[in-house]
Amino acid sequence: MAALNIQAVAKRFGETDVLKRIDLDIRDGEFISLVGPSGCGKSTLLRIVAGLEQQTEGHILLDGRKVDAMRPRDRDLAMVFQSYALYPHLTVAENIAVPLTMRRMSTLQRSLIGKIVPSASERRREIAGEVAKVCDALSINALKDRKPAALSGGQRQRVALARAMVRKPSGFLMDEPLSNLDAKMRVQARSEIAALHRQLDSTFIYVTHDQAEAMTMSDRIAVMIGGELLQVDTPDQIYQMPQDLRVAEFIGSPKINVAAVTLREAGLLSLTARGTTNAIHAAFRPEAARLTAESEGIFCGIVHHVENLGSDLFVQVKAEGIVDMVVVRTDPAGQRPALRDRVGVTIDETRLHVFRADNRRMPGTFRLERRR
Amino acid sequence: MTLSASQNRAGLALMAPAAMLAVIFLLLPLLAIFVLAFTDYQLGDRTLHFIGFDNFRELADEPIFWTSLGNTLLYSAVVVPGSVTLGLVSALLIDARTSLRSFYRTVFFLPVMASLLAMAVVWEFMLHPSFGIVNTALKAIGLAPHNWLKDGDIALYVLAVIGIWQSFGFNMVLFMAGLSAIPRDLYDAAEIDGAPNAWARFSLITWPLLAPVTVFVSITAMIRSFQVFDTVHALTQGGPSKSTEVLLYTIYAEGFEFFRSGRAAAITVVFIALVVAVSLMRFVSFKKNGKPA
Repeated sequence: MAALNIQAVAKRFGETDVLKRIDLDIRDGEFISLVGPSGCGKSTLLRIVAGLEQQTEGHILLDGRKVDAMRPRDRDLAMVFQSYALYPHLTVAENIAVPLTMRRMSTLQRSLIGKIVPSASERRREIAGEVAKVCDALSINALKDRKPAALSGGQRQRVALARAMVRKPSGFLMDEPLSNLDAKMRVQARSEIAALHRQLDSTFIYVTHDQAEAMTMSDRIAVMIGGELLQVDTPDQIYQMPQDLRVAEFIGSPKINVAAVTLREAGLLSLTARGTTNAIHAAFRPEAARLTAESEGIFCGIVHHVENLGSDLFVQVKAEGIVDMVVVRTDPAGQRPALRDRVGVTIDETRLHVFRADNRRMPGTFRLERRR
Repeated sequence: MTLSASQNRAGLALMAPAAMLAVIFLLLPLLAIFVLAFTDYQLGDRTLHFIGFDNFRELADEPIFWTSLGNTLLYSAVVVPGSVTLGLVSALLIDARTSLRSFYRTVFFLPVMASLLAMAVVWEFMLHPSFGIVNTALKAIGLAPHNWLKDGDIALYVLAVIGIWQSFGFNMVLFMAGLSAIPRDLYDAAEIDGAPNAWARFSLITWPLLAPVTVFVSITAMIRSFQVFDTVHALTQGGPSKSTEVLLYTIYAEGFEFFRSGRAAAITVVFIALVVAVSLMRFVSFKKNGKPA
């Protein structure tokens, strides 16, 4: 069990700022996701926490102790790699045993001579027992004697998990562990990892670029973009109360609708064409909008495309005067608009987010001016 | 897939040039060697006179042949481990540093590219008993100088050292290629899994994953070491008193100094058998590993 504090950690490669003073406190037993587009520095941050890379500034604290000078093996964290990083010449059982043999056996005991030293064979039995337990827990017993090359992607991922679990570390670091799986396996593995977290009651730091993974598994999500931590919050808060326009745009599928607005008077916004510099932006999710008759909408437009997902119907409306396409969620059981229909769109103003020119959220309640 | 008759003809016509070249330049000379080995042909003779296994019987009774074979194997036994180990160690050292990598790679590879005959002249100067740099250096630190190339007890080992110097760069380049194929992730995983030191990382990852390369390098080095000739010819001519006589030099002497082509061919057959046997080892090890290096 470990609480983890990241204090003002910065990382520079030459002139490039990869991480800009990141502060993040992770509670003991928490499942936290670092999510962001590729190149945002989330993997670098994870590698710094693991000790595989050294930060340029700042400190990492594990249970209140500074571990900046500590090697990865002494930090008591396990890591699951995107490529799984299984040792290709070792069997599954041998792979899983490595963290134990490396820690409990001396160089001599691990060597060929170790095969005949009695103390070593006792250790080996003890380690084999623990490996068997982990294999049982992840139901990979049947694979024990296979080499990684003979396993499917999902099986390799389980073996990598088993290797991380076997020495009961105080925290797990996961670097996009599901991104090499196909879509179906990924959904299954998602719930398995969440279940594993509940069962182990250990701290998980999970790096992903897939906002769906972050939303479904995490206690809290930390959204990183361009080396900055933009918001750390529960999935609900991140989704419903994004503190930054970039967070709002990154989280949610389909993407949130964004339109440039000008602030007329106290709380009254009018839509303008997007692209003006220093513009204020209003954003609303597809489910916060509703199709109406042409005359009743806040603005109107032409139906450009209708996407039917079975459970939801997403209608893309090309709104005149607003550069971007607006996506509106409707119930497939209800009335379906046809292509090139003229429709009106109204927006639930309680679910309207307004962001300043510097992308930060603007507090307050707002109304949208009806557009003629 | 079945081919029509015309496709077959076209295929045969296309491979004919390569097949003909292979027959003329590879198979016929090889066949000629095997034929000559069973004759007492001497350079200039107009007829072939077959004498069965007499050449081989004579070789078996000839001490010089056994000395030559023994010297070749001894030379190989020193050069192969020496150049493979040195190649591996230098590859690991260069791989561990990021800067100057290509500089070191080029410097260590230079002896491989340089003509060994020309380099032998440099070595002869360095090893010269009175003004060579080696003896001067030994004297400076108070050790006894040696007549390196004229002392029958050490001359072969001196040649072996030159052989190691000349060939380890080649092995190093092969090892570096093998090292670059090992995913970096594995070393990160080993670090997380608690590998305590460089030796643990080496024995857990580098050594086992380099195994196919090591087998390939060892066998290539062995075959190359059997072919030692330049340094012997330039520095010792097989002496003193046959202590550096090796198979290729014996073949050369029999064939081009004594003009006994039949004898030379018979030794060549033994040499070819040796090389084929080593090559078969490689084949067997490939089969065991399930894939080529």
